[in-house]
Amino acid sequence: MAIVINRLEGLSVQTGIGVGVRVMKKNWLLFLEWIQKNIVYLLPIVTVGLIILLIFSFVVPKKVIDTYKTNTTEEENDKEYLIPLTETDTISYHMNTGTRPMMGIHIGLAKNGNTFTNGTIICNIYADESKENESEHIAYSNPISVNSYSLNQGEDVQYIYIPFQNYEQVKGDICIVFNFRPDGEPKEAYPGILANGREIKDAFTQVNEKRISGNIKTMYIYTHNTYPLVYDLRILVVLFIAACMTLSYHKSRRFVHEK
Amino acid sequence: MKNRLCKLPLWIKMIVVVVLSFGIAYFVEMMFFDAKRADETIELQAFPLAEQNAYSKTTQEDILEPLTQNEQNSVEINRENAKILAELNGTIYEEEKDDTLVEKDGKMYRKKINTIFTVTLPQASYVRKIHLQYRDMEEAGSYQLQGILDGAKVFEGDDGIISEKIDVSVVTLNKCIDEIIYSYKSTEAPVIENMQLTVVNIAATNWLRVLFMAISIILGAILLMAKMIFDKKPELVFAIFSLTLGSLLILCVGTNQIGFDEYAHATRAYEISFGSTIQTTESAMRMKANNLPIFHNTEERHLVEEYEEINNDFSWANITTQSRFITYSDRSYLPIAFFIKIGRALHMPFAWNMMFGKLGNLLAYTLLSYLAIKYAKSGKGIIAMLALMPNALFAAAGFTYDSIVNGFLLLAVVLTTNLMLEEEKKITWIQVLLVLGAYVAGSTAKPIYIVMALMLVFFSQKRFENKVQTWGFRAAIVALIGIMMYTIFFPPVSTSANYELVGNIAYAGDKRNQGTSVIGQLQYILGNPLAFTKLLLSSMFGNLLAYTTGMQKLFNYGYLGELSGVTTVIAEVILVSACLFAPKEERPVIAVKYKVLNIIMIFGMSALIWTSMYVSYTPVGSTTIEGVQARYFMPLFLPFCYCLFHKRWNCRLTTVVYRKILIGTFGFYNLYAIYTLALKQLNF
Repeated sequence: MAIVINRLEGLSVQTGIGVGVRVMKKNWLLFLEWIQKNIVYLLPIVTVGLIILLIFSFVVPKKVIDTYKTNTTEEENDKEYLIPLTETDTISYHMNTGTRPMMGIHIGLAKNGNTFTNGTIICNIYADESKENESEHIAYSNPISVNSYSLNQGEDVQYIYIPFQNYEQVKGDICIVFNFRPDGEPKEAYPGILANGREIKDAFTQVNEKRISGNIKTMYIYTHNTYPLVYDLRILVVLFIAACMTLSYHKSRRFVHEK
Repeated sequence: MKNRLCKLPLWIKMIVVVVLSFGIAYFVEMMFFDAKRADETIELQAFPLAEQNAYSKTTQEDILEPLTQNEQNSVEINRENAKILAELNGTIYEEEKDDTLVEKDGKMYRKKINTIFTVTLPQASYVRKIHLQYRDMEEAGSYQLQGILDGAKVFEGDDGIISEKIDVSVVTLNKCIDEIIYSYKSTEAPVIENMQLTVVNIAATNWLRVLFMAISIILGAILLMAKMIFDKKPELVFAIFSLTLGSLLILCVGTNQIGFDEYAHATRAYEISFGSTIQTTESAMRMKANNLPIFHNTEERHLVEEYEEINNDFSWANITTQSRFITYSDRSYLPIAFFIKIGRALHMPFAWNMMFGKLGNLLAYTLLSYLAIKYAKSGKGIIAMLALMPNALFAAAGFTYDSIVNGFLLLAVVLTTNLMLEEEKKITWIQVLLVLGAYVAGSTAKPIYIVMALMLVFFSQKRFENKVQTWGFRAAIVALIGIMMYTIFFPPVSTSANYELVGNIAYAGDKRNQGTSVIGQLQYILGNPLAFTKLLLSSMFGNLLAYTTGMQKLFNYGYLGELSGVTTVIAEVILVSACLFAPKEERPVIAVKYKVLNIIMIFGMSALIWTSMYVSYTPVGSTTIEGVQARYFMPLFLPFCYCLFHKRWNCRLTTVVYRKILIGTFGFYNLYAIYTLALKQLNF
């Protein structure tokens, strides 16, 4: 750097820039000298700072959201269809989230050309203790998450996102139950949920407690923690520790490296 | 007069050389390539293939075309990956049916219709090019073309493809013929009314050829005349050779995908260039899917670039988002991404923007190698030669992170060797930060190379202040290696992408190859340690022997092709001789201890590379190791050379001549490779 500045100075010696370059060079050399003089303190301080940052990065992770397109497309010979969701209907979707809590769900919703002002989709989640192929009742009394989606928003047909309240509890075998609450809408105005004939592992759909072939179209939303800086910080920490190992703390030998 | 010329400033001399070179090149182009021949009786004539007469006949037959091994592997891998994806997504796997695919006795065939057109020319004529046009075609079809003269076959072209994206394919003949046999294979019967064959004999100046000739003359002039810069600034000579040859290669290749998995690298760099909101145009989408049309001559190139430009409309681009944070493994793409971003800001056409991105990679590689040569205490000629190796230059002029890996590791090895040469001096903090920084930066994309940093552990205690610092330094190096190696199996969760796959070793294994499983392969190795050791050693030494004898070709330009085995042997002889008989100023003689350690490191690294490919890329229990390529060993060449230098034999060559031989050898190799593999194959 000093060489470059020297040259710049040489090139521009007859111009006003020359003065600026000389000042810049002087400041730069002073700065380098200051670093060299204080390196025995600076390097350990930087290392400790990096260690603190590393610990902080571990303790405060970044929460991100992931979308899993579980069932959004149709195979050959399969067709998308609409399951009507009237006031008296119940569509339930049984699935397993594994050990991770589920943050929300995207479902394909159609308003059947109606314009709603008050209607609401109710989406309650229950811990599912029923077994596949068994049509026993789930205890619909104690939902672990109560959610709703107002139909006065969005397009006629679109994937809507329903975030789950109390989502930390939504894990393992769950049953997501969809109902329609008209809230004064005319009887003939009701929405529908998009479905197709696709079978999904560890999941099935029931309409009015009868299992259908295929499933509703969904995307699962999960959340998890990421640690974006941890990799860089732990490498930098080790790198600076290695550099610290070359410092001389004997006053008489401190500048021996420079010579 | 001679004295007056000598007194001219260097920059004026350079301009004169450049202008003269272009003048000579243009003259040669005009005189030898564009001149009309006496036997060109046809200038331009179209033959609509629907017309059935005495001059044009058509026949059709059903055939079963066997799939190539690559195509068959691709079908099987796609099936296996679909199964894994279904399992991951929790869906039930259903095999996608392809009615045109026939499986017989373990082999796969594609049902096709072969339409053969026989066109008789009005009279025998020299034919430069034939344009095969198929308007409004729906899917690509393959073809083969034969040229006949007096009943004898005088030309047989390779299998070509007419892409549905550009509707035309052009074949370069440069033969005198009187009949053309054109067989077109497609899964559906072609619409013959839309097909046409045109004989074209219109000469046009090939500017890339002119550029190639001019660059050859300029580099030749530098080799012959520029004594001073070879002596004082060999790094500058390297930079001139690297930038001119690399840029020429970039220009010749255009948007053709010619590197291993180049589309994947290009896609990642393209995505990074956008920051958080990615706008993927149709052209970029096709690049991502490795589905852009490819060209084989200037006419096709023009059509391909036109197609790419039409489909590079951002007004209907696909919009997706990504994390702003660039994960460690993607940082090697930053030079490419930065230049793509600049190109986009300058409203460059798609093809030029992609080439500009490659230029970013080339500049980064050239800069790193320049620094390595500049700061090497000795042996600059060898370093420049290795940095100009055809494989290295090819990587630098393409979409890949290999150039960053090679560049940083070259710098790291040079800085390590500098430390080895200063045995009496203490190691400074800035040296540690620079050398370790170079190792880390070179290993982020391929963490396995961090093992090379283990050499630093063997510096003696007198290089440090005391015992505690010595062992502390060693422990830090080992920890660094451990941290980076750990990421091979358990990558850090930096972003949301592939969360399920990250750290889930059950899914680890290269998805480009069928039957891979990291856990399965490790279990196999642990269960059969002797068999694996035998396989590893036989693979390593078998390959070493094959490369040494030239049976296996070392120098290649990816899918474009390779230089013959003779060039490998010549280069090896020159390289070894250059190390054994180097002039005094070009001898970085390191202590015997470090030579032995270098040999052990090279052996260990080679074993690691082979083992890693066995674990991640080879099907479980296989009796061969797949996927190992010569380019993986490039960072090890320089440490190997350092083992050969000694003080005993003296060389009578001056440093300047010595450097000219070394840089000139690989300069010539690259020129030859660019001409035969890139210019002639793609731009004639």
